[in-house]
Amino acid sequence: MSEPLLSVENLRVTFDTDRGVVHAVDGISYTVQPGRTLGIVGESGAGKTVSSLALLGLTPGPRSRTDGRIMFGGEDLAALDDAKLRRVRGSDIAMIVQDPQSALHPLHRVGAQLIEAIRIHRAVSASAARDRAIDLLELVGIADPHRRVDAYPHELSAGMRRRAMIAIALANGPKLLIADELTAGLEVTVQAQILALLEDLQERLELAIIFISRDLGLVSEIADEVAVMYAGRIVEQAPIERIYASPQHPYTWGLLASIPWLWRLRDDEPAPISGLPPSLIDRPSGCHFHPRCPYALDSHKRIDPRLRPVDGEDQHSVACLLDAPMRKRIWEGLRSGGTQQELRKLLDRKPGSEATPAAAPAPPAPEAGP
Amino acid sequence: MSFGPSRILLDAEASARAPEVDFGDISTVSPDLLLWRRFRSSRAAKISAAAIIVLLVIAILAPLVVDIIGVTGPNVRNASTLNSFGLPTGPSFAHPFGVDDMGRDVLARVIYGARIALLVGICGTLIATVAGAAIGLVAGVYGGWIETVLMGAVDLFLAFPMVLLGLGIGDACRVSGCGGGVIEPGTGTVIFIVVLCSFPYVARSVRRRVVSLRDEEFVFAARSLGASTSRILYRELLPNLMAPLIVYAVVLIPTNILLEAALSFLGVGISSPTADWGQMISGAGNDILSGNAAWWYLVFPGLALLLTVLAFNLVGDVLLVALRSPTTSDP
Amino acid sequence: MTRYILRRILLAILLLVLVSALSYFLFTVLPDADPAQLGAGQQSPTFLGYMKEIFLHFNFGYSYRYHQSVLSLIVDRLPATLSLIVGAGLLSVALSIPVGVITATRRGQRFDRIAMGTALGIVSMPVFWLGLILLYLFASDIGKIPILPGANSYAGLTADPGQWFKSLILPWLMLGATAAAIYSSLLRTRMLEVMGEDYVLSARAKGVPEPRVIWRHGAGAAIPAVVPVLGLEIGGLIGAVVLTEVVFRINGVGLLSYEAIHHSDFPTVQGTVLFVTMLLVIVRLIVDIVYAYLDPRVSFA
Repeated sequence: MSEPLLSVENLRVTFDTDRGVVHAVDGISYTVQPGRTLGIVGESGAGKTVSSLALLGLTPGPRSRTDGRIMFGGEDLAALDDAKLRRVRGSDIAMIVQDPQSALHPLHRVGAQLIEAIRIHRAVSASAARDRAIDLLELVGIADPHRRVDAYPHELSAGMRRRAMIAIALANGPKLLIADELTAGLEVTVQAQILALLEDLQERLELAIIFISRDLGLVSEIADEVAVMYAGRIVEQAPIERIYASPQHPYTWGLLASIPWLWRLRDDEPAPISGLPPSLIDRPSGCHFHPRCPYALDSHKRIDPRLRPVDGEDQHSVACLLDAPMRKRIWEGLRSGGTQQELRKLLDRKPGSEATPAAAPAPPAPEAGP
Repeated sequence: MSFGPSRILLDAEASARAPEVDFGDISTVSPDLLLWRRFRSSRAAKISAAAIIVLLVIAILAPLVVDIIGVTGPNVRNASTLNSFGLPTGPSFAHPFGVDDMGRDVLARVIYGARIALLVGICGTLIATVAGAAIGLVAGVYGGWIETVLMGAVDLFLAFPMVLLGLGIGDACRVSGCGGGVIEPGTGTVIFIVVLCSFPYVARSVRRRVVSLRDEEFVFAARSLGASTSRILYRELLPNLMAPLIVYAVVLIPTNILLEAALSFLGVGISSPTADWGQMISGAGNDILSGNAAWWYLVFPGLALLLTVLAFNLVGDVLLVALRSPTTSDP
Repeated sequence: MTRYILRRILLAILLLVLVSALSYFLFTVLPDADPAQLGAGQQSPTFLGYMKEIFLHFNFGYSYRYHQSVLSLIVDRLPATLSLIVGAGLLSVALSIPVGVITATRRGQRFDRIAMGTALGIVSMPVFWLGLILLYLFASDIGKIPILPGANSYAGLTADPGQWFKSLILPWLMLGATAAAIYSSLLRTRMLEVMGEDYVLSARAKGVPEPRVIWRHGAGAAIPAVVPVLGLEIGGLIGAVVLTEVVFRINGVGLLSYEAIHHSDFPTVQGTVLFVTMLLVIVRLIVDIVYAYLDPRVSFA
């Protein structure tokens, strides 16, 4: 394993609001290798976007605090002042912000926005910058770039706008691209095209990518490694194949439940995750996921799990209080047709478990088949 | 002084766009309660509201107040207070705000002037709000050509500059009233003008809100359950409009008070001998420009206007902010 | 784009017709007084006659007091009003843009609170009162600190440029401050929204220096958004213009209508109101067209 391009260590981001301190990001750590893709998955409010904004010092609001280390190119980005960070933004690390509907300035032409990105970091003439802008548009697959360069954003289709934003991000040859919900709201065919474009660019330019999304299925098409975030923390982290082969965290199971092609063995999909995201000011006690976890025990309300490596897999870690064999049984049960209620009873049958009193001895769990 | 509360229109436009997602807190409290909470949290708003209530009380009980303070009535001409040149005297113990050019006590006139300002401001605004809301509601719910015609009429009124429209109507109705005797010269005309000038803002804003609400799911659901249009109107839409309507009314009142003052200043509003702030300033202005520096009956009515309007504006601003972003702190 | 402009023009023409119709109703049908009393005797009382006079003959009435057509009276006085409006307009733009943008970027800090507090105060006070106080304090003939020409000192630009300018200083200040109070707070609100938009975050993510983010990306989007509101507020500010003319005795259209009222010259009042309103419709049309150039998305709709 070579030297990581980006190494995030114990990143914490809090916001001071009238209603209390918001723990948006609560001590996450990950690395990104050059030329590889890390997918960050989670629901809204899990901290995916905020953690990426923190990398570039772009967290909103004056009452935000960032702690931890962000090692990139031998420097700790978290310790840099804004002037130095500005040199990194848009050149070494590029970010495509969420909601591409309004991420391009509506009153400036696309070409002008590209040229601006170029000329901020390099001293080139206007015409040279314009040529480069046209090249970039071509690179990202926008047809007729000579005309399109003078277009306004609203004159382009949604897919073309995303491509234009990729072009802006690539303007200065970054080593790391952060794509936040890049394909949200696009038609499936266009989505696939954009992903293909990203992969192609990654290969050609040796570009590392952090791909943020709510859709685990989508992320899996492009990511080499996945980090699952919940309530500001990483609850599971593994190479993509391991996430599919042996997912460990109940939240991950819930995410996987929404991927249709995984469920060939069953007639229906397993139930999704119920409930709403937790408040980040007043977080649930113990394991933050326990209110929504179908397999939570009483003790889970008191103990806060740490991210620990899974036995035998040094690149796979999970933060869950259930023991590994139990998780394996539940997961295999889910895969082959069991419902949450049935599998829950697996837990209740364990001696010494503090299950709810209503649990009468349950019928045997369905055989966990292949 | 602003003769066009476009803040109201901006608000309606903002409400038509999707609200932002807050950090995880989803409020299930009704909009009216949120409005009230926000109002209570602003010190300026509370002081202003208290001031308004005091003013209302003083205005309603004007004769009593004047008696208690012990000055002469607003229309009592007391020639002895004029000095040897026939010019009015300034503030003194007997007349804390001085006397005007006819020997009338200024303090009493200021107090009585509050009656007119508040009467026109509040009544006119109320009528305008009700009328505007009705129009906006009907236009928004029925849509189609009804909406086009109604909103066209509303925009037509908006095309006229307020003060000029007031001048024209005020002058026309001054002689013997308007509308077949319904609108009498004087206070009636001024209220009529105020209504004409402010109802369009309410109508437009209400219609915008209704339009954005009618595309919402709950209306669609009610329709598909077979609810009649009027039922939708009353049960679904009106409750959602109560809070904004209150806010619009509060924001409109200061504009209308100033409009009335301006009309009286220009001579088409309330005229002598009734005490009216705008008219008092006009009289004072004439005297000052001809060299009699009698500052007291210029300053005091003006201050009264300023403080009254300021109080309403403060309350209105806080409410407007609360309307736009009820769950987050200031914008 | 051209289709959009054409549509706006047609709508404006329709509005002009409707405005005349409404003014006929408000000034001729509605009042109970009989036309002779109002002095509107010579004006054709039928609706069609009225409309014909205005649109075919540009006849806005005849003033018995001045023995002139209302239109010619207005045209005579228009330069004064325009001097007032243009000067005040420039001043208010020069004030509101910096104040609006800076208060938005320094929200909650001292400059913001002072500026917005002052704006609130100005907007809450009767503009004619402010004018009289300014005259009382500073007018060279009657003021306590006589430094500027007082009321009634207006001279035409071509007649006496120096006097023209000096006599307009106080009125410009008054009107300009009033307008600036309104526009700067509108701009501030819009600016606050804009700065939270994604394209501003994108710009920062590109590495754009903050001042450029604020002015080119932020203000560049916020200022055009305030322009259509200008169209609405202009109507409101006409009132302030009229009052300013009355207070300072500037011989413009506003003073014309004021004097007409006090001399029972009703045709002049009526004609002036109609004319100014129609002029406003045209001005708003121009504002809309200008805005379409500033924000190309509009013509798309």
